[in-house]
Amino acid sequence: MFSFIFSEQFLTSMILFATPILFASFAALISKKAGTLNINVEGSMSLAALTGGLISYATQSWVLGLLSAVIVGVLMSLIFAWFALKLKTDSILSGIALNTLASGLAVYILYVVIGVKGDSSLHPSAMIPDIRIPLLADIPVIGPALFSQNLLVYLVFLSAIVLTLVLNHTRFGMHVRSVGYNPIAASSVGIPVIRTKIYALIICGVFAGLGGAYLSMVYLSYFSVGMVSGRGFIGIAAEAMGQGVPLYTMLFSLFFGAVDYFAVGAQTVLGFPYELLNTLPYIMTLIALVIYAVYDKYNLAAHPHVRWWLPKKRKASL
Amino acid sequence: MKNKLFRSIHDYFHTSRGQLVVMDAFRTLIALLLALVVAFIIIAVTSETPFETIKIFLTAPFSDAYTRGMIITQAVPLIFTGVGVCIMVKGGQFNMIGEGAFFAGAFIGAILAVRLQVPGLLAPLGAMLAAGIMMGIVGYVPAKLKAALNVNEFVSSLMLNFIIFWVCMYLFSNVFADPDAGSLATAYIDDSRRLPFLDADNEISTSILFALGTAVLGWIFLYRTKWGYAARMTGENPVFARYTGINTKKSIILVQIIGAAIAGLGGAAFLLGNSYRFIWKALPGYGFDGFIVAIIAFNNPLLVPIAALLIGYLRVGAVEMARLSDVPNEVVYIIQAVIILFIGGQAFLAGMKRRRLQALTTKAKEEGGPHV
Repeated sequence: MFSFIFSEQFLTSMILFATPILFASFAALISKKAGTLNINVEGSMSLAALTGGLISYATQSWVLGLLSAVIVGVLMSLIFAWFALKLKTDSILSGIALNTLASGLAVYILYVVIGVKGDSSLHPSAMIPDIRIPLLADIPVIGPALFSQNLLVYLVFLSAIVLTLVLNHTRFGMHVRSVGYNPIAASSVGIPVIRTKIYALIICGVFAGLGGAYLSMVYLSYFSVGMVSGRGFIGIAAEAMGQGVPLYTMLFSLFFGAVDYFAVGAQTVLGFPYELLNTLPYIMTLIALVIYAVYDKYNLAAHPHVRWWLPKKRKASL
Repeated sequence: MKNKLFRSIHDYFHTSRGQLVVMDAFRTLIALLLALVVAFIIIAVTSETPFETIKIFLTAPFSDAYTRGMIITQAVPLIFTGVGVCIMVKGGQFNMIGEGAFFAGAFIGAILAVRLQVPGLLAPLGAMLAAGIMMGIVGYVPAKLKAALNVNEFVSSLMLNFIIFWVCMYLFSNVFADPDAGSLATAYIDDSRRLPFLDADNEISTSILFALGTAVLGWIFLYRTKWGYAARMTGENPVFARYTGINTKKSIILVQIIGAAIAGLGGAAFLLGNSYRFIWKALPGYGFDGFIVAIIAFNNPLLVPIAALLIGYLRVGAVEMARLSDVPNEVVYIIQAVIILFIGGQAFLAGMKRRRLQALTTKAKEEGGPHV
């Protein structure tokens, strides 16, 4: 089993499975940072996957497909923003409603456009290309896994770095964090609360759109109803475990990707029922939530030996 | 006498409380109309015969006894999860456990109804009770985590839903699958071990009676018991409730256990009322629907059956529309989403609400009467 885990195939597949979760978790992360957790990541990804698949088939251009998927993701985020910020619908309620909307709309559009209710496999998407980086890709084991990957895979790892830098070292990132931490205090020092939240949600939509495009244009070559299958929620779980730190969130997403790979693609290796394996991300998140809560309750942040591995400023609830 | 009654009704609607009720009802109505308009636009864009399609959508549910029965059957699960959500939301808890609890309740009900060694009707009743109790125990997990450690109940119950789902799926396909069934299904439930039909022709089952009973009991719990009072106080202002001596932690735990138990019971009742086997392979979404129903019913258990019938009507209309026209029934999800988004919007028509209340106050001041 260990030789399996350290094999090249495992590393490649783990990244393949983890990429949509990574996009979802970054989408959750940026919206959570701004104080309005968008649980509609799941629905946005589904609609983006549909749009990406259909547009890229119609135009035979992956660029247009990817672009339209991102636009749909942003559009869903803006609708969410309008309801949650303007009409002041509870943000979780809005998320639930938009998830319902997305699941219905995806089937509806699929049926109206191509007359099928299940998937668009008869109308295959134009695929987003793999990019092989010369020289680096020749390194054994990690070379093919890391440097001969899909465009979106590079993009997601790049996003992790950019997200960290933007959140911690720019004016905008500081605004996002302060708006999420205490909107009233933020507005009292002149930070435009609503506008900052909307920008954060737009970024959230971009990530959700990319995640959706990945599903229908890289992971599979077509859209199928229910293809997101909880990845949006696993992304939220990864964000909750990473406590809003992009690096930790990324590591947990990768781990959940590995679990996903075990559950779907590698049952035979472990000889363990995949149904129970599928519970692992959720059980771990639950345990992590408890650990963080204990940490908060007994104010372990004040304890020098515990402090180093957690971010310094954490919000008390969740 | 009649005049007196009219006067008291008239007076009621000129108090601020009466005005709030009127405005809430009006907001709900507008939200419904907006949702229907959105649906009509979508239908008009996609259908070859839009007017015919819309007519089918609106009138088909009442066209014959069978479709009228379907409305009631569709409403049953929504009433159960809706009442559960009402109680939890009134207690200030935003808990999604209804989704998983309903699924697991149906699964447990299907198994126990076959396996319980008791005669006749006791089998489904016992199965329902057991499903309710077991889900109540599961509901204790997010409840206790919230009360003791302040773990967000929304996230923990969301995670728990998926855990419940996969554990059930494991048990379903590895332990309780019926090898004689064509596809993945639990053992066949004999007619004598199911809830009987009220009306065999249109398949209305006695589960609707349990659903209505739950709604009434839910209302009694919330508005006529001291625990319900404590729960509502906790929901409205936990800090204030704690100062007045209410055990808020107990309330937080109690409402979530009750909510989960009702959803579990509902799952079993729905399955034993209208199915012969458990065949679900995905979460059915009734838990999420509970939120839609609860919000239309202003979180009042007594209004939940009406809201559930409304959603049931829309769903049956959509199914009939899909059968008889060229528009798929998924349009109903879009309607539901728009309803929830607008009714839930605190700011939706808030200006009008505020103006009406202000007008009332100024009028009362001018008349020199007491504050309303």
